[in-house]
Amino acid sequence: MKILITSSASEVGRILVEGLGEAHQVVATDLPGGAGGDVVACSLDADDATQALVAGVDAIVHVADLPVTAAEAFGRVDNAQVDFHSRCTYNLLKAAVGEGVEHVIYLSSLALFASCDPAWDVTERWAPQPSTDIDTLKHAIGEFTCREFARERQIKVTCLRTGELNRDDLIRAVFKALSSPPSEWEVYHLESDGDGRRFDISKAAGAGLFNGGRP
Amino acid sequence: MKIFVLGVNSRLGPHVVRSCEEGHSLRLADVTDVASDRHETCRVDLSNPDDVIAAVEGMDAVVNCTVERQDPRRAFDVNTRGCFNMMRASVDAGVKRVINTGPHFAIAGPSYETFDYAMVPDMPPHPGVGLYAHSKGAGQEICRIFASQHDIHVLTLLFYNFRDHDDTERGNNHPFAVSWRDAGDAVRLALEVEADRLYSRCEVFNVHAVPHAVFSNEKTLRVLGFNPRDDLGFAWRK
Repeated sequence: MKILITSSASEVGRILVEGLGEAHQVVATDLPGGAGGDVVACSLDADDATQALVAGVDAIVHVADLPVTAAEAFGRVDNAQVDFHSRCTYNLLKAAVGEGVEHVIYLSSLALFASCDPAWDVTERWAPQPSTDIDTLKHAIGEFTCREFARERQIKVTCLRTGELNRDDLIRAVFKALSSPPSEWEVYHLESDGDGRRFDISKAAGAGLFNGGRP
Repeated sequence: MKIFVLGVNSRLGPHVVRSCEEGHSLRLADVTDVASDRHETCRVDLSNPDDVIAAVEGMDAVVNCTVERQDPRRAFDVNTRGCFNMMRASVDAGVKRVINTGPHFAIAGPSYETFDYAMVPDMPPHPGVGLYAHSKGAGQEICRIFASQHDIHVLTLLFYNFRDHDDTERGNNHPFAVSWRDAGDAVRLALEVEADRLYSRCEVFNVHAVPHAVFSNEKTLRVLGFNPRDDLGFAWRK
């Protein structure tokens, strides 16, 4: 499978490029501020460059982690994040639809539920309760964008909301998610079995995205 | 009330000013030059956070009439990131009320097109992936999140089709239409409605004056006291 991985210069991006590269043909991309080496620079604008980036790709792993340099170049980090998670994500998915890409995996965050009482048994069926802190709000905006493409049946989207996740669990989850695209939109909560796992990951475990069930 | 009106040079902007200028103090802004002998004016690019922060200072309420429909960058700059800047600046400045405006499909996108009737503005928002609707829908989602977390009310008025109040031509019978001057009045009503009449800090209203009922305006009539001067039902009479 030919897979495009965005934000490939980020820590998560690098892990996935390396971890998925053994089984798949990986194309690594990042915004110009983060690109270098084998990473293809693309601004994710609504243009031919974004279209060319996704051409011939079977699936996209949208890590969606804005490079610090790109954020600084924008002037304000919060505006850069809103722009990246709305406009750039929209352009990426629009281009993907145009090129017939079947599946996108969007990496979101369990921080969307940080304000919930830890005693609550939060599952994927819960409505996110994002704060207006940009590091959380950005994921709400990104999910909103991806969900609309999925709900319109333009492209299949798997949304992985991650908490503390070790390297092997991350690679396994994305690897397995790539092999089983949803019918349109599917959300999984993922958190490694560290000290005091907070969220129920039984749905991900049941789908084979995780080795274990609830602790 | 001190009201900051963004996008005053839009089609809707002048009607908002006309409806609100009696009894309120207005600060008018647009990305282009604003002309007014009566009101304070300034030039504001909603995608520039520093512009917005400076312009919101000292205001009690903000009205957002800005819109960008076609340019793939500016649509998100204005409709999405602009809402973020507006909400962030409003919260920081202690503004208590924001009136946001947008097209009906910021909530009711293509997936609702085949629904029969009685579509209320409180449906789960699904703007779809059209540039205009999606970027406006994302902006509305940002407004909703800010209202859920801060002491600020956001009232979003949804419009679809406008016509001049003296346009009596038959055949222009759109199922979601309102006259320009009634649209301006709806904004004033949204500014003035008591907070205790609102169910939550983020409320959405369908603003129209037609009997079609595909889209319900019942909440707008009941909560805002919207009583349109121009009943466009004549367009539907035989």
